[in-house]
Amino acid sequence: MNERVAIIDGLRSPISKANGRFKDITADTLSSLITKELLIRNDIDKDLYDEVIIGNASNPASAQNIARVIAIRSGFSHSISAYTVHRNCAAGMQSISSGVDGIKLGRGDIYMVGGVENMSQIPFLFKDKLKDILTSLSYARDVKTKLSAISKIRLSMLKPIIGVFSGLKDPLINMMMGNTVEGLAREFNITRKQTDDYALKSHNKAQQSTKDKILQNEILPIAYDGGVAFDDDGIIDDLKIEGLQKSRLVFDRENGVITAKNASQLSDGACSLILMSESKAKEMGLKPLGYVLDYEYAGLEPERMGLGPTYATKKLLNRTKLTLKDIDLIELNEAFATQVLANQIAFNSKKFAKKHFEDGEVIGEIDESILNINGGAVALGHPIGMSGSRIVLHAIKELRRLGKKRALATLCIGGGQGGAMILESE
Amino acid sequence: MSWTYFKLKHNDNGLSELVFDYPKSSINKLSFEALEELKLVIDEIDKSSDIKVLTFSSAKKDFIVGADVKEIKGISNKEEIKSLLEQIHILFAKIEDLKCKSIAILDGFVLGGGLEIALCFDYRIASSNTTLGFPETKLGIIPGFGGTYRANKLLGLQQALTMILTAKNVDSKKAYRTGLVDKIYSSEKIKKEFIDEVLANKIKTKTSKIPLIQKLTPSVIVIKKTRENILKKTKNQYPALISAIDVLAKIQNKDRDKAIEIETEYFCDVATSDISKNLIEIFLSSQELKTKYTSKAKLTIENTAVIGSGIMGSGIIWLINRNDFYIRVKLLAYKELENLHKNIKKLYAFYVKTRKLSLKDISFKMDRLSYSDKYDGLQKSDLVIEAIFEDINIKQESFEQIELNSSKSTIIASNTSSISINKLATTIKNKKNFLGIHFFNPVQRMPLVEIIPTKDTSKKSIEQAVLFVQKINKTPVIVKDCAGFLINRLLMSFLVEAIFLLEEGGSVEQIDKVLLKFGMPMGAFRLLDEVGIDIGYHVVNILAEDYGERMKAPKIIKEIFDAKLLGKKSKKGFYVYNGKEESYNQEIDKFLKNKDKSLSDKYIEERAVFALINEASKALEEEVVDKANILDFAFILGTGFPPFRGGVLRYADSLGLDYVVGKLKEFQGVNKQRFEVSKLLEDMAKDKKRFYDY
Repeated sequence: MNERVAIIDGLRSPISKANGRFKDITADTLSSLITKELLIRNDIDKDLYDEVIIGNASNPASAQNIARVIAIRSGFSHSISAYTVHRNCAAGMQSISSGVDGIKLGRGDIYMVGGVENMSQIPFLFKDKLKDILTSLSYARDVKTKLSAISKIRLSMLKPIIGVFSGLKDPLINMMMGNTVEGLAREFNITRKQTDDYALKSHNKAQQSTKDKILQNEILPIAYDGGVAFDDDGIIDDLKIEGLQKSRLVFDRENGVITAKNASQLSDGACSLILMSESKAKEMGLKPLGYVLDYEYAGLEPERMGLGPTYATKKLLNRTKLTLKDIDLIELNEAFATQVLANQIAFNSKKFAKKHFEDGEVIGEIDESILNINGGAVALGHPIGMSGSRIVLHAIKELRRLGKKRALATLCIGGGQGGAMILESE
Repeated sequence: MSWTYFKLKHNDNGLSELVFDYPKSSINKLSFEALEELKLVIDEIDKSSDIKVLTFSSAKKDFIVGADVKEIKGISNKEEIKSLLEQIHILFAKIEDLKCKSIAILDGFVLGGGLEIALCFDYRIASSNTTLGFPETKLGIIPGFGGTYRANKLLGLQQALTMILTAKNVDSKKAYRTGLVDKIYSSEKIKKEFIDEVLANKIKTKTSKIPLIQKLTPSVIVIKKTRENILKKTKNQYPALISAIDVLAKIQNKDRDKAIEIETEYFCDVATSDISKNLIEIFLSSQELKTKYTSKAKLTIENTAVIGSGIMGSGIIWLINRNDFYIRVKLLAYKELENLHKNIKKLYAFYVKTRKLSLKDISFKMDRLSYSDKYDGLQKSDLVIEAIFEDINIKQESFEQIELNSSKSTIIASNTSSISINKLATTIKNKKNFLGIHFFNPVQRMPLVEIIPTKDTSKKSIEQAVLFVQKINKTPVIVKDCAGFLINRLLMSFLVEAIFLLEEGGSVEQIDKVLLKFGMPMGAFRLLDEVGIDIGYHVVNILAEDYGERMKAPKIIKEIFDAKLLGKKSKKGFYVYNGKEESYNQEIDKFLKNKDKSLSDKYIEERAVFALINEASKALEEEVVDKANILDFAFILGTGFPPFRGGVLRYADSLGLDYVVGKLKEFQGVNKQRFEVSKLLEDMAKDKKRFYDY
């Protein structure tokens, strides 16, 4: 089946800095609030949905297969099945592509998809040694065995492993994500100044679009203990370049470029979308926000994972027989400001194309005026499992607002992958 | 032999099964006739030497819901009660002394006399959804079939006192913990196993479950403390509670005959008292109200919506959420979410503290709540309750939006407290689905809800509203549309009178003290402070528009309102509020022109209460509600009017209506219009009639 897949509606929570406003709201609660609201706002019989698919990277222990928990808590009937997808930073895009596949294969007509992450609630972990002792303790039936188990505990074992950090480390190469991107800075000669300049633009643009109520268009305000979250709170208002220059290097303390302020932030957020086959939408007389034309994922060396968008976009443009000139808007997820800059170079580098692409052709030059026009994850934050859904929702809403035709949403994926999706407004 | 009320079946293995099956009734009640027959049955069983074990169970859903309250109400002669009770005591003792082993098999409700009879058996086994309790003190009586003696023996003094004084029901789990039942059976198999064990004589002798600490505490101390507590809480207005304590105090270490003799003596006193008759009447009214407005209709409301999230709105939203309905909230703006969220959490805090609900339970409950700043998402709403600002234009604009965004079958209800429902209805398109549903503040505590149909409201809409209000655990009463409806109208007549008494020379503290002594839960001025003097002033002015001179606000209330003494919310009203302390606000003195005069306590009580009686009679005359007992019950639930007085109109009956009319005429010297006697009241007094047919 070659018809496109319609995006009927979409909604997201504000993005909140980790350990901030949403620290006590579990990921399933956060996504349920958004998913439920979409279900209510759109007058589609909830039993007509075929499946619920949610992307999530940290898999909370209290809500395994979080998609099912979210589906039921959002008001779906027990008969509607649900599964969780994981593709690291692209989990929220994977849920959309899985929905698209379902529709294109004719398995279903209507899918609720989305992504969620609560990085505040990623637990601290204990070392295996302590785990073994605690396990034997729980099996111990008499005081003597219990005491002997307890006596084996050493103070050093109590030092936890911070779960969120181990999630940001690539197990294949034992490198932090930031270190891989420092490698890209060296490969493409990207300076600290270029990186900070990019980060500054991201914050300034995000501030302006918040002020202009552009982002508000896609946000459902969320109550937390102490107030109501209306906007993304990672944006630093009236940021000047000096504010970025003062920031300390995090990964390569000597010659590096990445600081806490020019990389994306740890955050909490949820986003959901309703997908429908184009014909079903027509039949029901609905006016979709837009359409998914196609998507593609690509793999590359884990230590160069930041270039994922270049590889995936190349593959997708070839597949759709489109060129970069056919694209009116680009959302390239800002995992790191440096990494966006590296992709910008790689998109248009002949040397790079010759070395890495089969056909040896460059993708083309990215027109900066269409790239991340309202800022990105550096300013807003990057709730891992949510971002893929968020950039798709934002791209489609912006196409509509600006009266443009086609958008590219693309992101890099920890472990050495890239994802890309082309969206159309008409 | 075949019986009317009972079925007896003998098995070969020595087991006999006695089943209580009250003919032509869905429940088993211990009527005098049924008990007489039971005596014959027990005699027969006792004669047989083949019976090793006797089980006693019910053919109905519930074991036994209690003695027949109407029968008790009908008796006023102590000697008559005494001789009846003696027969019952002989029967119960016979059951207790049966040669064979006996097991009571409990299920559903096991209340009052039902629990007392169960206590006579050697063993009690209960299904997992059994509810046991002694509701007697709620009706102004005490257990009278030997329940005090047997509960004390089985449970110990402390637990017996708790069960009898609080009159609260316990579930099977708790009953098992305290030793009230010996086994919980979750299946027929477990039940049969237990009976088989008793048959095989394999049951170990029972060990008492009374905690050691309770056994060691001298009963004198327990009794003394309990008595002090109860006196403090009830101001000695509920003598049955004191009688129960007295009985339990006196029966300690007494044998059965002596203990039951003591119980009977006290029972006869309380059962013939006016207070118990009043409380039984209220109980019967509450039973009547449960089925009064609905025939066989089933609740079809699933999805609800509330417009507005102010104090009333958030209370209603919480209540509906607590009872697991889907609810859509229309907020004035998203920033209102902060207060709504805070209020809901505050109302749930009690459940978290008492561990009835976990934070996760609450989070999952709140999944059924969604919100918007627009009128979207109402398509599926079966019932929309409007709870926004009290302004007819704003409300009518809201109704227009609701009708536009909801479906044809949606019932729309206004929570207005002061605007006429018929007036509000003028712009409604689908008039048959519109009515008033009036909750009281604070919603979580006030049990009454007024339902106000218009002349066009369909019977179906009214029924659904009634069923819905019952489902969220409130008591609905249908009221005819009039200013203030029933409760606020009556209450205001009483408060206005109290304020006039203040103007005429009474003091704030004296008047409140007199009313508290009469039994009101709060003095008039303390209540005005609680409601807010601005709101009180606003409401009385609205009522004056319809009722004229008799509801006109006394001058002083305007002066106090103008001086911005608004009551508790501004920390100053008739009283000053400093944290938990409160004292008379001396600033009020300057508004009092007759400080040198003084009024007697009796005069104050009669002026305020008789003004209320007069207004209640007028409301009944206008058929605001259709029956005197329903009016009385609603006013007790709506305002806390002292239940032991039986209700406003019942209290008038007890005084004698000519006396009330005479006094009202005397008060006309103060103000002719205000005390113009209700025609119904005057006519009834003339014909020597009363509001209640006794």
